[in-house]
Amino acid sequence: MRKKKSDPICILVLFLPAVLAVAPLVFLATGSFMDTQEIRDYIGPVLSGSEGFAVWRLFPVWPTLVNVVELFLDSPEFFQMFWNSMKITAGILAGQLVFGMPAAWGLARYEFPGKKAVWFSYIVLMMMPFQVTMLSEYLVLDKLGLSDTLLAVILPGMFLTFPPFLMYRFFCGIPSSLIEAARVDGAGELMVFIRIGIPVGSSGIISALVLQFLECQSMVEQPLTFLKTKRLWPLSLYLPEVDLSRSGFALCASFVALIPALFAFLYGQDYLEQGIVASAIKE
Amino acid sequence: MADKTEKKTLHAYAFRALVLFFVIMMIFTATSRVTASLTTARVTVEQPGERRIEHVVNAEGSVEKNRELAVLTEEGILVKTVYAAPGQKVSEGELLAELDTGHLAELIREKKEELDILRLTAENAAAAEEQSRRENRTAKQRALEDAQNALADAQALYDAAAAEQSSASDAYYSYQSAHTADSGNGEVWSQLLALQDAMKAKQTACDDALRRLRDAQIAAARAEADINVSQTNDQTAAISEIQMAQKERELLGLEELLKAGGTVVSPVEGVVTEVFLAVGQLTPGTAAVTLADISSGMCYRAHIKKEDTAYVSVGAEVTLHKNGQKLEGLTVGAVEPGEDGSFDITVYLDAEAPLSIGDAASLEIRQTSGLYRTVVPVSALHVENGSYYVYVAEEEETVLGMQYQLRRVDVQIEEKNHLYAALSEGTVSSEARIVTDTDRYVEAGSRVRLREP
Repeated sequence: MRKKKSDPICILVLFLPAVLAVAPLVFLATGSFMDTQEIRDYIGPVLSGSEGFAVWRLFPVWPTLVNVVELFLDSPEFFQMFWNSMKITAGILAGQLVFGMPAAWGLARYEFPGKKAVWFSYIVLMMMPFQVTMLSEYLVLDKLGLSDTLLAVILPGMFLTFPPFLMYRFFCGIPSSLIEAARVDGAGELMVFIRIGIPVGSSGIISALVLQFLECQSMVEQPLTFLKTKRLWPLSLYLPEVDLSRSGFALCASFVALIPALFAFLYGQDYLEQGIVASAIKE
Repeated sequence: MADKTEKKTLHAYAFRALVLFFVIMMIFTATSRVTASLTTARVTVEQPGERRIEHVVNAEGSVEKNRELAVLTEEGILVKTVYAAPGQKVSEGELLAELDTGHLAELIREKKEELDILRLTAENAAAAEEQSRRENRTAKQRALEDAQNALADAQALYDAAAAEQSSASDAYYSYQSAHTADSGNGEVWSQLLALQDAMKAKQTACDDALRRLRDAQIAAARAEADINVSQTNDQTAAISEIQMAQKERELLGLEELLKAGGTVVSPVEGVVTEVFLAVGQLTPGTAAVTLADISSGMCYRAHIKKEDTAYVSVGAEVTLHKNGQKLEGLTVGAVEPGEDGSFDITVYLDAEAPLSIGDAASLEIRQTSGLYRTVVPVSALHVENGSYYVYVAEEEETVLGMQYQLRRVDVQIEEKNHLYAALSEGTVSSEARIVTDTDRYVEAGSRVRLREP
């Protein structure tokens, strides 16, 4: 099939917002190689309220690697928090695979009493902001003795409702005939789930995981609420601790923190698109 | 199909890149930890304790004379031999120098001649004065007699003039009264005028005689007064007396010196400090030899810095050290400003002290303060703009766990020596970990590691 020729006007209309969307990334990348003085010269009106307008250069006048060196060789705190973020993310994603995925399969492929009520509660919980459930979560975690541990963030994350919601859509899209054929061939429910449900619904699963990955990387409220020990803080809480006198370092740290999410997005981009499409299709 | 292959490749690359990223992060995690451990300062800490601050003042000095006296001898005698030398210890009566007895005898002879001259001069002066006095008295007597004679003559002349004046006046007035009716007569008038002129002339003569009489009286009175005024004494004889007495004393000294064989001996036991005699030269009018009198004791002198004077006072206990020997029980006798801003300490020593004049010894004065409750080693102190501060290592929760972070605490020093400093109460707690040593530069906020004690 021949590709349709792109409309230049469409490209232009779409290009400008794309540039605006990418601008922060460019800002981070170029700022990582500027020293604090140069950054202060450019965005001083914003940082310190001095007169004039904030400006920016694509290429630093005085490029430097000092921020990179300081980040990678002289900031063990950054790595401590980075791996905390990774542990939290991995724990939550693993939990979603163990609990969320079967839950979505069950809701998508089976009929049972109270299914609508369960599904309704999933929707309601999905829409609730964290602040609503924060206190109840804190009390439960404290009772369980999990307060001020990584599990205090991982455990509630494992049972978030949005990933199952996203997977549900994909599981619903699996043809029933395929499943019936597997059952006819003697496959049990578990086998059907593992051999057919997961492979066929992998797009949804991966898209859910990618979105959850991005969500975990930017988690702020849960760690701030449940983690008192600084040693357990994730990367999302480190960057606000860096003061303005180390602007270049902050930009470099932000850019490095962005890289895993970038790769995850690149990997799961197609699945994300499929997931967004799937969630838009009405039943 | 190509799209799918392309997408698969992108997925693979993205996944591999993510894995590679994690590997790189793991490597740099280890590297940053290693670098942090290398750059983190290792510090030694101590907790403040109770202690007394001891100040030790050390100084080098020497034993000096306590009392110095001069050995005198007659001036201007030729020196034959000098036995004394600076630093030499001499006993009482020991020979210091010998003078030329021949020259001494010659000097004695000259002195005697001078004495004779003075004596004769005094006698001449006395006789001349007597003669002068006699002549003066005679002259005055004669002057008085002349004045008295002149007075008598003037009195006689006045008496005669007064009588003549009286006669002339009587003659005028009697003629006038006798010829009152004939006042218009020319002859009478001429006679009256003539009598009047005569009366006036006699009056004038009488006045002159009176004036001469007054002058003669004054002259006589002065002559009489001059008789009573004593004549100014001539001091030549007295001066000669004094000079003779001086010569006699000098002569006596020379005779005694000759009797002693022309020797100069030490009057006391002591140490020769200076010798002002030279063989072949004449003895000076000042001291021939100066001695440090041992019998009155010695003194030890040392120099200390101005800042050490705060710990040294008169009466403070002193220990002297010499060649491993210790001399205790001494006290500071005096503290006085010296040269170049330093101060001189004087410690008085008995004559029995096992030290000699000129011996070098080191001084030690210890002063211990009261008990301070917050004392830290001096190595813990830092100075900025004249103010002291210390670093306190406090445990803080960080991203890397519990770490020690330095906090600057400004302190006031109550007292300190070269080892310890007493801080004002309340500036730091007794449990505070105060940094006393570090292996690299640190500042407030620095993360540190504690060295094992």
